[in-house]
Amino acid sequence: MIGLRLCQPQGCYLPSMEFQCRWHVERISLDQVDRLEASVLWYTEGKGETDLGVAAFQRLDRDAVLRASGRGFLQTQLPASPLSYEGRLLRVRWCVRLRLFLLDGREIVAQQPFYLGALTRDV
Amino acid sequence: MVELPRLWSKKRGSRLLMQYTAGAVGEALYYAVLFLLGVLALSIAVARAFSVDDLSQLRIGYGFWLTLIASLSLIGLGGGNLAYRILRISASGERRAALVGRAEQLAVGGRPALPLGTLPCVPVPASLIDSPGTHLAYRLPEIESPSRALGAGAILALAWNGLWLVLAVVACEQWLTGRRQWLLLIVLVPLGAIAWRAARHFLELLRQHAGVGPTIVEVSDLPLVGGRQYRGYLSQLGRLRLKSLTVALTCEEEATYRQGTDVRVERAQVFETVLWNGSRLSIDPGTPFEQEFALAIPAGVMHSFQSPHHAVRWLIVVRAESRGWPSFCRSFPVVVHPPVAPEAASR
Repeated sequence: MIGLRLCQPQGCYLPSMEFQCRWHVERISLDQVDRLEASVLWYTEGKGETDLGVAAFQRLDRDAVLRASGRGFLQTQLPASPLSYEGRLLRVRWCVRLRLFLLDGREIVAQQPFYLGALTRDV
Repeated sequence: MVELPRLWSKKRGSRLLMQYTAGAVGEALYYAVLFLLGVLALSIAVARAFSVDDLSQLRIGYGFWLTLIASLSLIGLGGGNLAYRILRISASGERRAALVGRAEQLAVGGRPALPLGTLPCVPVPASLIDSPGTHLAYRLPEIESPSRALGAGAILALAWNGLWLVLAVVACEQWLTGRRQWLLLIVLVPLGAIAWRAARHFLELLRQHAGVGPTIVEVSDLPLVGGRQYRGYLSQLGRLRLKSLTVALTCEEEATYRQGTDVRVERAQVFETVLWNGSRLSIDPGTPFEQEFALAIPAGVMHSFQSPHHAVRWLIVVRAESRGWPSFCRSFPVVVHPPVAPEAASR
């Protein structure tokens, strides 16, 4: 299991703001971990195929995860766009996503959504 | 008072005492007829020259070559001038001049590089800011130019009518020489009906676009930012009697998706606000209708967005309901940027 905690309590960020988040691996023996990927990304939802863009990406191999005792810190500067959006045909969502690859081939994914921008819910 | 059509006309300063629409349509029709005459003459010459049973008896004299040159000249003259007239109908003088100026720039040293922002997923307004306006800073391009539809209609009508004429000449030649091919005569009937429909469609488009002149929209700044005020300018050319003319700012979403083997595009308008509205307007060819309007981008709206399968587009839409002519709606894209965060602005 993976725990994710955003450093901004409300989960709302302004464009170009500094993004920070902490993660930790729980209830899984670190000996089983092959590698871990952390990314800050946006994706589209709604009608049509999903589009995805990555603002920050971090990849930790087995040794790095073991050295960090299964805990980590992700820090990046958010881009100025695209802003989070709730439309009729499409929604733009931001999230931080952690993907844990185990030695037996399994993958465990955890993600924490957040909101980028002020108000784009009406339009 | 109803104006009577005149054969002759003269200019008085910037005023033109003539029916602009009738002149433009008349010129286009004249060159279309020249083109068709050329096709007819060419097909008659070719059919006469090659309508021999034994190719060894084939004789091609000076008359054939003379007819060939004359008919090809008619085709070139008619087709070329028709294309030019169509372009003239669908673009203003300033627009054509800007196009020529741009072509000269490209020919000399290429287009100068423009300083553009690098916002992810926000369309770059390069194609919008390379056309300066006469009243405000930027003249916006129209999304779908009417000249395309008009050009396509002209090509279809001329090609189909030309083909039908060639087949008709062949059929007549065979009929006169006693070799009657009933199948060809039967096929000529539906082909003729299609040719008639294509010609009618082209004439309808010509009438529509010759009367409704170009629409020009300019804005004071680009890209636009939510929460800020700008100025806009509208100019409508042509000879029109409008019941209403509306300028609106709209936002639409677009999603592209596959359904089986088809690629489908769905659009939804999510925002619209009227920027300016006028009614009972009379526009003459010599004096285009001009109107400035306030362009306020609401705060907290979604910026222009473009990803491989989705888009959020902002448009300035000009809608007109006219008397005598078909109503029209023309869209001009603008790019709306997200507001700059205080931290980013101070950096």
